[in-house]
Amino acid sequence: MDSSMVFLIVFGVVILAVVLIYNGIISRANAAQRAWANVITQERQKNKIIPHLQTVTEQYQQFESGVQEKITALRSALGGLSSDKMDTNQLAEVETATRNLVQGMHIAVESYPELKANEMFGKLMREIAEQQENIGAAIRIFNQNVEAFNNGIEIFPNSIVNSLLNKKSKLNTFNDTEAEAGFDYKPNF
Amino acid sequence: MDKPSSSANQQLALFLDSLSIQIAGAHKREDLRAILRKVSAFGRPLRYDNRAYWISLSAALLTAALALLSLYFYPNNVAAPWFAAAAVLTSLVFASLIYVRRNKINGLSDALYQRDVYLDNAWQSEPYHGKSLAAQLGQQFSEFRRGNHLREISWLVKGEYQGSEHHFEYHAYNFHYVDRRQVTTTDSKGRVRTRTVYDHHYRFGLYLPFEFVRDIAISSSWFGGFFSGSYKPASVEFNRKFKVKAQNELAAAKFLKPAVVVEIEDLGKELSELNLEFSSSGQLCISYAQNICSWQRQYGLDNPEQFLREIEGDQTLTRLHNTLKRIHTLMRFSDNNF
Repeated sequence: MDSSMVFLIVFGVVILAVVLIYNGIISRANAAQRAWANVITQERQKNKIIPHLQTVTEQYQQFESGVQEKITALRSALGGLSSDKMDTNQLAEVETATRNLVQGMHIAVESYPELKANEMFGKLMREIAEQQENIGAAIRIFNQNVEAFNNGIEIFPNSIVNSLLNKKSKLNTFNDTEAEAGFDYKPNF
Repeated sequence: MDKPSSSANQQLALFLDSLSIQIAGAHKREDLRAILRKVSAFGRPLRYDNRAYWISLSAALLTAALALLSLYFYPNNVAAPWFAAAAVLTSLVFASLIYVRRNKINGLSDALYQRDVYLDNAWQSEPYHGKSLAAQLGQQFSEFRRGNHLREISWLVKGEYQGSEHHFEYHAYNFHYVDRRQVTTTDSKGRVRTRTVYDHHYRFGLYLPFEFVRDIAISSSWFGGFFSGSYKPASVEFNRKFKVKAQNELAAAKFLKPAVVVEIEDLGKELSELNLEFSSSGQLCISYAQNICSWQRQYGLDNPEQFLREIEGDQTLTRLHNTLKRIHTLMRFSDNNF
């Protein structure tokens, strides 16, 4: 085998590796984008239950006054979410609004025992709890995909391919700052 | 064999027979306690006096050795081979008798511990025919289409699980299948030989009614399936480990909510070679490579006090319980709250 043939084979292998790395970065970026869209889709599921929640709360005047404001805050925060832009701060705002609403509902249940007995209210609470679990899971998947993407552009030799061709920046994972505030420990990343 | 020893052994044999009947009829933990109290009250360890058998075995072995020596020094001795054969046969008989006696007590300890495991896990035995049941399950699940020579259910129990929202019955099984293949070898002289090799495999799993989802297969060890459509959820980790096949991709997308995806990811970390098949008749078969329904006792009837303490403990199979809990979570996310 002459040296030109060896050179051609090595060049071919390098080109193939670059193409594979380039495509890998693209597919991981798309996976992170899709996972983000999934989080937004799950968040928007809340819009479906808000009308039901309003119907139930209208039956209880005292309950309604406290919770209506929180429903409005949640609706407004949901309106600010976009599946095209990975805005983790806006997502944190929605999560805070949801937490406030659920807390408000729990407090109202204590002062309104008949509300607890309301079948529709029980179903709504269960639905909200499941939606929150789904959002938590969607965020976990998003963070996993972001980690895979970040690894994909930072490890060698992908970092070279990315800096020359893909030119993608590192993505931020979603951190629940309110939940983090409860911990004394802060990781030194 | 001296008289007192023979009578003690007879007494023990009768006692063990009565224990065997009582263990088979035990339906409550109190029944098991009563059996162990009876063992403690027997007054002596549950052990056969095998001295006579050991002496007979030693004598037979000595005779066999002498006969073989005689054959070695006097090859023309006609009687020696007969003596040797008879002595070897006698040795085998006494060795078997000792083994059977020892095994009987171990077998009863196993049976009693198994009753306890069944009670603690609320299991019931069900009559079944291994090959027929595997064939029947193969109509619904491709899991039972493994193996080209033999497919059989080798163990089966029926149990139930009560979760916060759903109650369900399940069957836990062990599946044994055999692959037959031809192996061709060539020796140093160039002669080609073909022989048949049988590879035995075991898989384990649960099957249960799951009304909320149909016609979806999620597999980490793919081997074929009934459905042609495929679906990939958003999780890179899930897609790296599992493949999803479905009759209707929309149904798969609807079922694989984020919470379901992470639940299956976590289940896949606990159970290797995990497959989930949702049949068209509303049944779920969840199968894996390791036996999560196995148990191991520490003590036996030869140590009744310690054995009683062990029986008093909880024999709930943790990994099985966790798997059932995860199945319940899948149900919770697949049902309709309204």
